[in-house]
Amino acid sequence: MWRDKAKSFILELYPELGKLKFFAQLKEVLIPKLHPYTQKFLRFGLPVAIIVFVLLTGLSVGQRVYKLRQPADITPPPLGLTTPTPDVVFNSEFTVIRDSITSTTYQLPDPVPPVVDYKITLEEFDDDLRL
Amino acid sequence: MKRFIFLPLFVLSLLLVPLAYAQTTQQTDYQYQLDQYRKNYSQYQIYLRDYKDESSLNNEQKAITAAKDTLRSRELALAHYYWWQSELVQFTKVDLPVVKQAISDFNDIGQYHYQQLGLIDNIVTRADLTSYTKKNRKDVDKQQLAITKNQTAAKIAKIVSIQLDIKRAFDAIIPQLESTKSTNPSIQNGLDQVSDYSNQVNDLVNSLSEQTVKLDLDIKRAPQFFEDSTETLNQIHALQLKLINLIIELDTAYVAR
Repeated sequence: MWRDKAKSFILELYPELGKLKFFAQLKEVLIPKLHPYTQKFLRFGLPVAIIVFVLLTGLSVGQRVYKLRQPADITPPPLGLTTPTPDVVFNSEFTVIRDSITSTTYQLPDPVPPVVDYKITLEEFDDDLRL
Repeated sequence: MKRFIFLPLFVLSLLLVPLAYAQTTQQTDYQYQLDQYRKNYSQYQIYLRDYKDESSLNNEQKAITAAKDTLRSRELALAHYYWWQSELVQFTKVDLPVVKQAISDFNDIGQYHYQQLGLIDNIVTRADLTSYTKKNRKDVDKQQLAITKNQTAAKIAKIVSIQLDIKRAFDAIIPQLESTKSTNPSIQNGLDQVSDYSNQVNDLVNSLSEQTVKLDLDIKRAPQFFEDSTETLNQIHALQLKLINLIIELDTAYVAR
């Protein structure tokens, strides 16, 4: 019964199919008469919808097949957060002495004596002193 | 065996106060007078050249006046310089005969230069100026040996004060180290090194002290003596740095808190 209904529906949309033997034994119209606009819409829309459906199905199947062929992503398990152990910095009280040593001048003379002239005179003379 | 840092044999009793390097009044006065001397000396050079170009009475008087100004500022600068030196040695609070001698000598030399102001005021003629300069040069020349020795003594005082600091630091941690050294060979090694370094410092200080006492400026001039002494001082510096670094390491790593 439903096969006849389907045949009559398709025959309604595509009357040119009445020439085919497959539709020859159909006795009566088993579906109500369609509106002309509806008929026209369905006549052209149905093949388009079938093509689109086939394409989408093919794409979906293809994507699934593609994913099956890809190696699985290996995601390592998440690491737990670690808190670094704080380093206890201990400053010796004797670093003051080290600072004192590094800041001290170990040279002579210290402080450097002033450079002065010990021969303040208007006359020349020589006394063999190395000043 | 108890470990301790050996001190030079001539150390009798010592009280250590850290050196104060804040600028003292004497240092400030010295720097001011030195600036004055440089200005006056420049002026003196100008008038001296004028006098040599033209030996007029006017030029001579100007040159003598400029010379007296220069002499005053020079003697004041030298007086404050040696008083500053005396202060620096006093700051070490090292109670040694050689250090006390240095303080006293520096004070005396500073006083000598300060007293020159009265003599400078009496200069009137060119001959007075020449006479004064000749005598002053002889006096200053005689002072050179004492100055050289005392400057070295002052440096030795500073080294000894630092060594006392180091000794006090070591004495503070030695009881704990002695009790744990048997279980930790690093502590024993550290104590051995401390003893070794301190002995080397003492040997160098003693050597430098002896050289200072025996110094003869006719054989070795002051600049050469200072150069040789500075080499010894640099060795002492390196050793003291090693000593304190070792003590700090022992303190931080092995002293329980």
